[in-house]
Amino acid sequence: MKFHIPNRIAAVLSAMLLVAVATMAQVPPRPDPPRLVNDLAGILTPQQEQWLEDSLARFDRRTSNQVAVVILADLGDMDPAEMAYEIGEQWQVGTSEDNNGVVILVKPKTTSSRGQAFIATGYGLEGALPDATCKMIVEREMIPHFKQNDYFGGIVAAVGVVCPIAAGEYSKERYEEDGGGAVAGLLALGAALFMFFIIVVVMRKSGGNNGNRSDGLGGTGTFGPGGIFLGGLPFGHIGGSGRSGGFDSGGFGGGGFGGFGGGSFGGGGAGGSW
Amino acid sequence: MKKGCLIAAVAVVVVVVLVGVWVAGLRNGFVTQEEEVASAWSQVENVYQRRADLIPNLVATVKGYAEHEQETLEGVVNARARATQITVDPDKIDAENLRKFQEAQGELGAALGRLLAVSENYPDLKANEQFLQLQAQLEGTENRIAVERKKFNETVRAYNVSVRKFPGNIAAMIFGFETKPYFEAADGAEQAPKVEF
Repeated sequence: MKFHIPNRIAAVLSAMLLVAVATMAQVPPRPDPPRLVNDLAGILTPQQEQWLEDSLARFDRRTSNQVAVVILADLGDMDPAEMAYEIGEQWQVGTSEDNNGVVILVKPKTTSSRGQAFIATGYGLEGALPDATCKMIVEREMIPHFKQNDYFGGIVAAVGVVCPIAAGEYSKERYEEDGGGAVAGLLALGAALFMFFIIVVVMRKSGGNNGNRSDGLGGTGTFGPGGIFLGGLPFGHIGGSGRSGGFDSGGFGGGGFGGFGGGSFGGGGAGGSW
Repeated sequence: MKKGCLIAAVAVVVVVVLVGVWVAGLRNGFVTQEEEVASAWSQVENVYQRRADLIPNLVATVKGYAEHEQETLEGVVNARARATQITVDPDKIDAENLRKFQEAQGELGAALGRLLAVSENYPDLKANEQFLQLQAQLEGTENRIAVERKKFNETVRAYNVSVRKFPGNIAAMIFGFETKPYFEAADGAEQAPKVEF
């Protein structure tokens, strides 16, 4: 009698299987080759995408924290939180030892649907990046940019806060207290970055770069304060790391993103819509 | 004749030993999977506990602004008291225990939903920094509950499949491993209140 599976349980099992299959179908497959920046909605320029990818790959190599940025045109019938966790779980963002992955999910606003943004934290980063901090980052850094259709700026601004907090280089308390005060620091960093761009331009001119790289600088026009933040805080020294990475034509060959590491997600994080 | 008997005896012994080893392996597999279910369960209880831990603060914050909502506030406090009393021993997860647990937590979720709904009527409360923080934390806790419930169900499903599938079901019957219940799909009351614009 025990060999016989009651119909009810069989029905439940098959229903769950169906749900699982339906869910799987919506979650984008793990990128191969692995990439941290996955713009499946096509709203970033290739230069912006590459710059972000390089920056995040460098951050991964330096700290082992994996921050994945995923932009989707459509969430199906999943809510943003669920989608972000599913991506984190299925792609295994973060390392299996530390579960130190972050998924930044963006669904751009369309004429018929609201925009959605969600920052999901792996188990290991729930302490460093509590839900309230994630919510603040979404509302303070991302949505103001997104409302002006500046998706790159909003993502860069969010990454610029998420990375240093995840790496323990900047405390969440300080961020929560001096969200405005940081602007003063940004101005100083802005000046440094301006110098940096000048150096890059000079180097490009004198270094005899090929033609199509020079349009990489087109992206600089869209840098808000967040771009400065990203250059300044999470990736350390502006001159050194910036030059060796995304802005230099030769930098990427040295080592891209090595692949996702088996991190797991337990539902940490927060989001918002506009 | 004698030699034939010996060979047959040896063959029987070998077969018995092999079967024994195989069955023991199956049994060990069940034990491992049962442990996984137990640890998934403790995660489920952790996240529900996390929600319960937020409630005293939430109630205190709301009280300061919405004294007239005594009934709703008491509803939450009582539902919390009932819900925290019901814990399920990870080794004794059965349909009955799980149903009771889910019922009590569902009531707490519903009471919380009502509290958040009435707090919409108090603009000062809605602007309160601490209330906003608590709301964000509650939202996060509901997300964690959803994730851990799903993980629990997945772990149980893997266990149930090995207990029910031939030939594992024979070993399961011999050693008394029974299938474990699932969390049922969230009924309306259990779901976090959603605000749509």
